[in-house]
Amino acid sequence: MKLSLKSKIWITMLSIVLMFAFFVLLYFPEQQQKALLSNYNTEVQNLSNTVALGVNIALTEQNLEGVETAMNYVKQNKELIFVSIVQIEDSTKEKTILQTVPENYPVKVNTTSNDTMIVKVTPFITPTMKGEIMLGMGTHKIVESKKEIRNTSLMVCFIVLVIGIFIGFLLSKNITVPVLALRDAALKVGEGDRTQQVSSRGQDEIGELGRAFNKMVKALSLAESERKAAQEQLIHSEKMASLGQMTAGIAHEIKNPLNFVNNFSALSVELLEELEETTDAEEKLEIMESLKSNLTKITAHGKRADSIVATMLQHSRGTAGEKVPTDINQLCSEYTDLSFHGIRATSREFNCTITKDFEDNLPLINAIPQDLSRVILNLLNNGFYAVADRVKKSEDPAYKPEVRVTTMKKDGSIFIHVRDNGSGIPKAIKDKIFEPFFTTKPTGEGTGLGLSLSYDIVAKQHQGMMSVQSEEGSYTEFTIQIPI
Amino acid sequence: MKLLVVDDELDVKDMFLQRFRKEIKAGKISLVFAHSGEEAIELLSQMQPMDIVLILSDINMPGMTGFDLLKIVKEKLPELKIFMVSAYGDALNMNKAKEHGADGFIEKPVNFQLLEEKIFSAQ
Repeated sequence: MKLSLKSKIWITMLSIVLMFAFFVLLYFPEQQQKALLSNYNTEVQNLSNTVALGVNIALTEQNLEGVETAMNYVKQNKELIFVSIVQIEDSTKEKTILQTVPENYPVKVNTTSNDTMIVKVTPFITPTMKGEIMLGMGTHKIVESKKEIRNTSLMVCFIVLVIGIFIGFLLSKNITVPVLALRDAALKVGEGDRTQQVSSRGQDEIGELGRAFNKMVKALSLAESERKAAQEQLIHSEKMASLGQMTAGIAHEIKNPLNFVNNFSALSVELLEELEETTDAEEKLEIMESLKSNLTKITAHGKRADSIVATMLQHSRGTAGEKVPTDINQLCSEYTDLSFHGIRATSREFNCTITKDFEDNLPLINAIPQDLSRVILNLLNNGFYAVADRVKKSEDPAYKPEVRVTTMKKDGSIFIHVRDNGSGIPKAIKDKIFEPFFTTKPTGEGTGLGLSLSYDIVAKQHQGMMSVQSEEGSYTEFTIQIPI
Repeated sequence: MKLLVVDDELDVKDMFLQRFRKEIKAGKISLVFAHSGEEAIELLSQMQPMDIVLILSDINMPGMTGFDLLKIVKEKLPELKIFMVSAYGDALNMNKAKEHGADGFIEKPVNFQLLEEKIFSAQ
């Protein structure tokens, strides 16, 4: 049975009070009455014996006044109902009432005790007659004292009830209130509120419990903030690591357009000088065409470098990015290149066929480009790592590493698939790869946060889904689904 | 003198043609272009007669890298000179180019004056 602590306290208190009331109201009065009745019976019997003795002496002495005196002995008693002298015929045993006080009381020879009266009989024998004294006394006194006992009992019961209720309240206040406060605080702590503290003034076990609880919450909060700080530090280093890897890719990506900007502008200066010197109209026209084409190229490559720098800035910025309409194809393309050049920069031998299979005219989707780009970069990096790993492990000269990035629109969502034909993911760890800090890379090469952060970015920030399919030694394909 | 320029960037062709327009006009230099290592190998194998004297090859290219090309060229045509061109002008890259038998190393952005000197001194 499910009972609250409060109910248990009240049930215990009420049971004690009820038990007490039963004893005080029913059992004790009953016992008292029995004792009183037994005393009273003896008392009446004694009185009857005394009267019988007096009558016996008086009759033996033929002293009628003495009989009167003996009868009057009980006349003063307030409880007296009647007293009779009964004569018993010797031969027939027939009883006759000789005298009764008070005189008009209707006594019968067979009158016995009832609820309101106790009748006692004492036989006597004198030389002249054989008889007995019948004494009837009222129980009024006993009824009175019974009432008195009951009243007192009721009063005591009431006082005990009041004290019981008072103790109940006190117990509730001292036990259930702090316990309930502790429960509420524990629930809130469970929900993540680490500021909960309970009153811990009491010197008893409940006070100790409160102090222990407060200590625990403080320790928990401290541990949590330490963990959070460590996690933030790790997330930061993950970001820095991917930024570092990108930097090499970015240097390459910037130097290429820069190569054109520098050289085409230098060439243009030369062409201008030639233009000034030449007199041939046809040649002039030719030079001017070249100049025009050079300037167009300078602009195009300048823009290209600009967009690369913008991308890098986006990536290094925090996560407080806002959602903007984003061209998924462009984002995937840029970051695939960045990832590839990044890997190339650190591992010269690395080679891989990259296939970009992008569906044309994808609608723009609302996304946080700097975050989503981290996901793409991360998946590509993993893909390149996987094919490089397979190259390292397998001796098969026919193996051609390949990473394929596919985008498509389907059922109101945009799908991005990143598939590599690398070493694949063993079944045993497939469920763990999205867990934070899970990594198969050697210490120092991965924080184990890449995929878990990517998952968060896709699922939480973009309300999308991220899943993986893989066959060990064959392929791995990550799928990102983002609703349009 | 016939040069083969290998780079995946299309504008490289235009840049070289303009830069060496005078030498081309004067018949001192002629240029052939390939946009990937694979294309360069094919071009070299089909050329009759094979009169290229110098290859300028980018390192970072999708598919076959400049180093792959370097290895193949040095294996099949050890006499053919080859200069590596790369945006990664670090010591590691230069040493590796040297190790694989490259005859020169040009850093991007290309300094054509330097390149010209190197080309003519390599002859």
